[in-house]
Amino acid sequence: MTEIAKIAIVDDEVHIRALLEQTLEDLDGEPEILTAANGAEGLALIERERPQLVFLDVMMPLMNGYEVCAAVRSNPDLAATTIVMLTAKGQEADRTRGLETGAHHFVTKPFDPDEILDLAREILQAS
Amino acid sequence: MNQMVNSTSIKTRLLLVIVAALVGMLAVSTFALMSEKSTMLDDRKVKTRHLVEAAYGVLVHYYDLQKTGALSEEAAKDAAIKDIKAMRYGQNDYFWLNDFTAPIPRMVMHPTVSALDGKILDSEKFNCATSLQAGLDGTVEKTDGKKNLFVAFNEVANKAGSGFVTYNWPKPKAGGGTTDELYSKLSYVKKFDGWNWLIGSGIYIDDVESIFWQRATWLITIVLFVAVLIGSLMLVLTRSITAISERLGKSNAELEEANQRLQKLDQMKSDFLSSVSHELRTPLTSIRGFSQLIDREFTRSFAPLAEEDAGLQKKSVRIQENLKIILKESERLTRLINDVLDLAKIEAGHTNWHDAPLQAAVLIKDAAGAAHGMFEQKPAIELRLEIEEGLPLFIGDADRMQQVLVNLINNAVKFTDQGMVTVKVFLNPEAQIQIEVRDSGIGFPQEEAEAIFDKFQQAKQGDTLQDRPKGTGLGLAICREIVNRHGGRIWAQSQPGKGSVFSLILPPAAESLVKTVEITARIAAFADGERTAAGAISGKVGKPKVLVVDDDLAVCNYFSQLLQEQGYEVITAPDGQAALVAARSHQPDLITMDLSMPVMDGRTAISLLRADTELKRIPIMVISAIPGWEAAGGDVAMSKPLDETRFVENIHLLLNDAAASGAAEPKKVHFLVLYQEGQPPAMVPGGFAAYCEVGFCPVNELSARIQAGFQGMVAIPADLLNQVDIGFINATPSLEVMIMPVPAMGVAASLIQVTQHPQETKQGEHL
Repeated sequence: MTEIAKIAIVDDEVHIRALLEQTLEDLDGEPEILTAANGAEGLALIERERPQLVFLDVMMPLMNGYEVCAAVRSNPDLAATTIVMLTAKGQEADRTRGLETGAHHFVTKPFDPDEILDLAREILQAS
Repeated sequence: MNQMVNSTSIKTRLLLVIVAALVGMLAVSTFALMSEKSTMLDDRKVKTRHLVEAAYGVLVHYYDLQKTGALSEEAAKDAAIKDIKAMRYGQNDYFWLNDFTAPIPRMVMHPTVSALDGKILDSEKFNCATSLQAGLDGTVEKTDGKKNLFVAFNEVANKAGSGFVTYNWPKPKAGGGTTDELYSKLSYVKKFDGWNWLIGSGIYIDDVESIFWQRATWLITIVLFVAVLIGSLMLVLTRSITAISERLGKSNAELEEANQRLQKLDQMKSDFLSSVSHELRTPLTSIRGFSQLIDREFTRSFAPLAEEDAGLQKKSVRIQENLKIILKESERLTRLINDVLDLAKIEAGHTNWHDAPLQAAVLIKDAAGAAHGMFEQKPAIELRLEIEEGLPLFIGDADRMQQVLVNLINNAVKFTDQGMVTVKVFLNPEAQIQIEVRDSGIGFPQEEAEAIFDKFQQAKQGDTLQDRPKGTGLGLAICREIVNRHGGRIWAQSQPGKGSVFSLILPPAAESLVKTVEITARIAAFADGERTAAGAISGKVGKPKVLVVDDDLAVCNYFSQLLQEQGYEVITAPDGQAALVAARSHQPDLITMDLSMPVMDGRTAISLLRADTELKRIPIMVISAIPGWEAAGGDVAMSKPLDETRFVENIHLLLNDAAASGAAEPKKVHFLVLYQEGQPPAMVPGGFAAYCEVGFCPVNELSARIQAGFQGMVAIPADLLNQVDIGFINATPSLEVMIMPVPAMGVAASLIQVTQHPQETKQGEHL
């Protein structure tokens, strides 16, 4: 892995974005962390920056997480992007819907920052 | 609208009932009248006969006086004639006497036609149609011609001494004399041998009829009166019923409206809860996450700086402790939110239940495994399982029942400091599956045994909560909801200081389901038979290779270790795409597949593997944390956390299958599911995936398949059973057919085993 990893955080809550940013700062290789405050902005960011990993909130204004996820999955250029959905519900139906739209992982809020860190490490290692 | 229809239909029904009742009453009274008519005539016949016998007594009396010499014959006869002439009864009825002289008798005395007295009765006017019955039981003989009726009397008397005769005779008039017209009359005559006389008396049939009609009129009047009474009562009733039903309809509509309002409220409650839960989660995430980050950074960067100063160090320890409290409490709040949401979902009926036949023993073992961590924290408590063998299955949601058991076991551990937690399962005397979780903990007063299943209720000691609440206070309420939903019951027994017992009963699955499980076993046995036959030929060399696909490195290592212990060679891949590459290069004997993975998920990987001619034969075991039964296209599905024993068992099973696949013969049971063309197949053999190669076949193509040499099992949904030409299958001598009822996935069906005898196949070649 010669180039610097890129991670996108798409969430409308400023504190959650801050929390994720601070959590991910501990990653080795100091990956570039990009943020977006709504779905539409998030999709534009992902298409422009092509991050390896996206943390994607479900309930957001303008475009929800499922829609962003489906749009990313339908774009063959973004096949290498791993999507981790941050769901507030953790309900089975939401998981199924997320899996159908092409999300790879689910993290239920409130999450454990260590869990996020482990997950990110693993995903970045695999890619 | 609806209640209008209802009240009209009630009215119509009531009217129908009234009409039916009236018709019924009329029929009954007509029948009663008819039988009354014939009984009345019979009664009169008997009465007449008795009266004649009585008058006969008069003759005997005077004849006796004559014989003793008290009276001369003349005097005796005169006295008798006088007495009998005076005897009258009924409306017009009297006795007459005539001589028994042949061929034509002579009248001795006739009280109403005295002109006949002493005359030979040879007048032609006595010639009429008669019907004769000699004696009491003699057959009735009818003469329609002109027969002298006094000769007819003689004939009857000669035959049996007495008898009945029907004929026509004038009626006596009120002022004396007789009518001109003749009336039908029934008389009883009896021969008196002493003076060679015949005594007779009769009744006019129309007299009887007129009495009958009098009575009938009365009866009909009463019947009509009663009918009118009932009718009007019914009408009144109809009115009030209509009124009541309209009122009911109205209150029904009100109830319906109230119900809809309640449903709306319920929906609002659910929506409210789910949005509140969402809104609460976001700040909770911040609280939890940031306190953790602060804790980490503080421990890493600031705590070492404080080590030099004793006062600062004390403060730094306090800060760390306080941060831990924030963390713990945020965790508790999270659990509470989860439980509230969970309970609300179950109560609102929004839960998706994944029902399947379950074994209580397996569930208990799984739950004990899941609660393992709790026991590690409290080494003074021992866990004991007492499991009865051969318990019936029950229908339920495995994850939810697991939740109940884990909760009960956790509670037991929570409130016990040392001793024993026993989980017991047995069949109780009512033939229900009973599970008991018994602990030797602090217990609670029996009066609270009901209340602890209510929301936010925990057993108290005195008025104060003992210690602080250990849990959300919703666990048992959720347990009760889940157990109730399974048609079972949960209750508790306890005494302070003596420990407590939580019991739950579950109804066993219906017989038909047990059948399904039997069938699975049968299919497995059938498959085993083929396998051993094939396995004998294909001795495979070398260690079997297993490809473990999972994005979690820890899981991969864990599986690898487990499989290596079993003597397998293990390759690992972190995602679906890597799995495809590894499968092509290593040609594994088995693949275990996670479903949610980066780059390519398990579902896609399985469909690609199945589409590849070289790789499609590799058995796939799906291991996923996603609840549900579905195998996502794999052969067997297992859920995380993994049951090690079952994992290894299933691996063995699938590898045996694969070993047999080396031979030319098929290694799985060919399983045909029939369906009606144009309609989707009704049966999907969910649990059979490990043993069956399932094909779907329209019902009318079954014959063709069998002729083409199909061997295996045929599953026929019950609604198609009549359309399957089983006769055809039987008619072929080369086929062995076995039919067995199979209820699969709730659809009753039949299972036919088709086996072809080799020598008979030769016969087929001749054809």
